[in-house]
Amino acid sequence: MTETNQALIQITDMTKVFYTDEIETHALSGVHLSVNKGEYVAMSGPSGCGKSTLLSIIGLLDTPTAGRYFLNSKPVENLDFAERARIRNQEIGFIFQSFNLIGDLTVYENVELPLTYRQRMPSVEHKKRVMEALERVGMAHRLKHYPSQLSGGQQQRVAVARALAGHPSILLADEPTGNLDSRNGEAVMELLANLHKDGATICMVTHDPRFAKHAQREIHLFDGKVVAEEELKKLLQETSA
Amino acid sequence: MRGVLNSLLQDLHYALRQFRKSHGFTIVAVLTLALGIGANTAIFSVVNGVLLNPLPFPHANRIVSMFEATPDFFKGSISYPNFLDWQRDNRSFEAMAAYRSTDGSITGVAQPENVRAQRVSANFFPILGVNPILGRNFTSEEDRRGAGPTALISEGLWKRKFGSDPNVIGKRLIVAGQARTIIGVIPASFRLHVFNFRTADVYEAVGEETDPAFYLRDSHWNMDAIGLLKPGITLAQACDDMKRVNAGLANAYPSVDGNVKTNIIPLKDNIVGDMRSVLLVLLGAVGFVLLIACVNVANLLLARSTARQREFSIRAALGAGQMRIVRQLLTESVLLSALGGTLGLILAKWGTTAALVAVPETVPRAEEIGIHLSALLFTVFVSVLTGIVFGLLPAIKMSRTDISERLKDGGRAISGSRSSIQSVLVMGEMAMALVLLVGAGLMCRTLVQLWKIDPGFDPHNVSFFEVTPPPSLVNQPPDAILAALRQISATLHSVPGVEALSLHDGAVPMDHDNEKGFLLEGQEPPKQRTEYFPQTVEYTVEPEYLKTMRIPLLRGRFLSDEDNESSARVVVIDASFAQQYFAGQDPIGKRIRIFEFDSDSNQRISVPLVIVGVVGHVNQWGLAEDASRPLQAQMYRPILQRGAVDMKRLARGFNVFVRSKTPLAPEAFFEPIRQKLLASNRDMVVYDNESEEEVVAQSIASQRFSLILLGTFAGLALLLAGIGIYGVLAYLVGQRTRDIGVRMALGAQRLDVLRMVLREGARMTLAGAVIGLAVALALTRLMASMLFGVRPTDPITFATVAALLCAIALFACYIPARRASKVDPMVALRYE
Ligand SMILES: Nc1ncnc2c1ncn2[C@@H]1O[C@H](COP(=O)(O)OP(=O)(O)OP(=O)(O)O)[C@@H](O)[C@H]1O
Ligand SMILES: [Mg+2]
Repeated sequence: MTETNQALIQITDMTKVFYTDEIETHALSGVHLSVNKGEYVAMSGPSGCGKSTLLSIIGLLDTPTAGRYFLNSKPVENLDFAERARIRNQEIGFIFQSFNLIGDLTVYENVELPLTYRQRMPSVEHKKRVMEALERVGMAHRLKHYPSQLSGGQQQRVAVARALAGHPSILLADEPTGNLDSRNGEAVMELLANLHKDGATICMVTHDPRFAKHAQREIHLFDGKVVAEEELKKLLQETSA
Repeated sequence: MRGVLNSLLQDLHYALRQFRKSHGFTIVAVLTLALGIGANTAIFSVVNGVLLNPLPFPHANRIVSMFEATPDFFKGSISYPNFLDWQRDNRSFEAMAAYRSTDGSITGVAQPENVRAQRVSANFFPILGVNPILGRNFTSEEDRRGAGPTALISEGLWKRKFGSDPNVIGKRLIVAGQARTIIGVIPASFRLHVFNFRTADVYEAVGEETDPAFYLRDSHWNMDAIGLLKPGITLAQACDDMKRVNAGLANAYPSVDGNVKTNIIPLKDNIVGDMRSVLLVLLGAVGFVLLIACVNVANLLLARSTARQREFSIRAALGAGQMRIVRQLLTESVLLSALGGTLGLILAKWGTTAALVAVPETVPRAEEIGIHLSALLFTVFVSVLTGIVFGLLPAIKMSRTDISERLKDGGRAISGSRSSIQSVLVMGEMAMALVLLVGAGLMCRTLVQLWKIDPGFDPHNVSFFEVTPPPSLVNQPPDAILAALRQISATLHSVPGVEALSLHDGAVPMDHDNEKGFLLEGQEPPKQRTEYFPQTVEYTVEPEYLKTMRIPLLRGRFLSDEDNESSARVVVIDASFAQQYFAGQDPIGKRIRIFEFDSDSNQRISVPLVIVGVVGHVNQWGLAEDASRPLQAQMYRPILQRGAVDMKRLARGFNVFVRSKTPLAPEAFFEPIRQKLLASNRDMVVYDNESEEEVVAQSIASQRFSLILLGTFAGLALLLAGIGIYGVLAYLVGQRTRDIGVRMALGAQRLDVLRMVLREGARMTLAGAVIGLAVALALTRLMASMLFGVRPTDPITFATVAALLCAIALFACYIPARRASKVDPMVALRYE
């Protein structure tokens, strides 16, 4: 973490509590996190430790229970739905574990989707961006295909292209290789590494330590808190004992 | 065989368990089907009772109705001498019988009571195959001029007045002051209702008439006839035969029968009349309702099939063939529609009763309508067919999808094609709903147009009833009759709350017609009757009639009290009369001639009438029909200036129109009047009170009937189509929750999602509406005869109704669309 770089994401003392049937689940408790422009951060930790919860708050899909969140130096923890949707659309690119391409839409239409939710963008610009993104992931030859006609690895590459098409400030990926075999997973990881090399900021949740190595920095979560690697090992040993 | 039965039982058992498991689905499906099947059973039972069932007479298909056709009337009445010649000279009828209706009070047995009486020929009941339950029919001797008066009475009257006395035959009954010998009792099961004939309490022989005017060849005393065709003789042959007979009459009586024509139609057509096209249109309409119900249930099944995919892939994996699976599913759907059919039957029973009560006297043969065997069979047939229709598509769809495809990709690829089938089905039901809405819309505009028509009089606060004076009056001289009428009029005037009133005879607007031939001044009666006398509707009234009915006076004056038996004969004509015969002239002071029977010379003599006034035209033939009837001219004559023959008729009975000062329930107004009249003479009968507003409404009863039913069905269709599009969209939204979440994660606003779902609904609705408009354009021609003042392709109706459909559909879509817009984008992150 270099202080000269401006923090793209600045999260302080964030907690997230879920209330279900009078049971409180403290998914996050007092998380501090800052991610700089151009960084590639991997988040790992045991199942249920709050990785997805943190990522969804970063991606403005969810709101924190308490704490502060500055995105591009702007406070975003208390925005309304419409404003958050606008920021998601312009600043954030999502890559999901299960690809989440829309079955009724072609490859081209899927990639174009985030652009269609943007006001006043000429369709020439759409086309340019979509083609750029698809070429970047090597899927420009499958424009007219439907997701069901693609392999898992191809679908995930299209999903990456969709995340890129909006030119977001940050790419968020929640176990992007979870539904892929190792060869296809490797290919997607390589793609992300290349994107990072070209300047993209990436936050990725992963279980797989091999893939975590691709990142510049690895953040460990345990029971809703960010912990150092050594501490994590100690804690894991304690729980298994 | 046993194996098949066993597996069928298994299927049934399994189906029942399925229903118990998903009772929400079962209830919705059964209710939908019950509405669809119930509506069909109801209309079918009406169609069956009215159109399909043969008439309840042994030789029903050989019985025809006969009329004398004139330029003014297709079903004109027959002159009795002509009828006798038809009877004698024809070669194609086994028998012919004339009938006309009269009425009179029965006195001498308990309280005087006015009864409907029919005069019929001796072979009237034999033609219909009706045998008296007691006694016998008329003999031809009893059906002769001057024969001793006899009577057949109804079973009802026999019970009411004679306590079912088995020795009633030979007893005396006084009808309209005339003592008659009872010769038989007609069973209560006998029913016939056509123009000029209604099932009556007393039947008399038509030929015993003593009035010499009845036997003039140019007398038309509201008499029609029925005939029994010889076996094998067609209607066309009978018509040709009657042409030959009439040619003979034209030769023998050129001055009267020069142009005589016989109009023959099957009795059933005469009974059913205009109702045929109405019922067929309604049958088509309920067919659409059922199809829409089928589509809805099919869509429910399709939606459910996604949930049941696992079950069927396991069955298939265990070796069940495609046929076996289809059979299982069809068993379920047929069972479902059988349940719907059972419930529908109850709805139908209840619905038919309600419909017939709502608009009485509109449907002919109403007493023959009921859920009988054929309606039951129809329901069973429709239920099974329905089950197959809505069940087959989902069943085939479900049995086809192969197992491996289902396991792949969570079935998303499949759901795409399935939902497109559902969209097509929804478009179909939108189209059908639109067609029904157009039908109902056209009927609605028709009624609005009809209500806008000025009847020419003000029916509000006007009551109409009938009076039968004491029977002894008939045998009094004309002076005494006139005095009695004046007395009755004075009595009526003394009733509090009466603003104006008029005793009345002859034609009654929208209720009863009466015509008279006349000649203009200087016009000679035609030597050869190849032409007809000009005709006019004739009203016989008192001077206050104009005030009672609030008919506008256009020129000159109306009748006054000075126009009495000793002053010059005067007449008031209506605007149509003036327009038709005195265009561009002032009719006041002009003369016309009519011909009245003179009992001294036993022939018609010319009577000149001076026109003293012109009044507005009155709607005589009913709001819907008046403008299209050829006979428009109307005239008013004072009741005090009628001839001796007419006086006798007045002594038997007349009508009264009364205007009350304040709006009153017709009954509340009528009862004091009745009491007052009865107080003046106990032997009088005062009956059949009706408000003029009812009379006007009744003149468009068949249109109201059509509107009520078409409106109900269109409403049902709209409701079902709304539920249908709602169901499919809700299903699609449910299926695509994740897709919607993904879109939101990618930055879709709630409004974007709302719009997306609405757009999908709008696409189905608009496509359906376009198809529906096209189909409606082709089909509404079929209801042209039911419409008034609006073309079957009326663009306003089409546009309004399409807009209504779209509004309702979009409202139905809004609910799932809103739900979609509330989807939490977090679902995108959750794994399957
Ligand atoms: N919507 C919710 N309602 C209630 N509790 C929730 C909700 N979402 C997450 N949780 C709880 O919050 C905690 C963190 O969940 P989260 O999904 O962030 O874990 P994770 O680290 O992503 O786990 P995994 O590696 O299994 O995906 C868990 O205990 C989970 O049960
Ligand atoms: Mg997770």
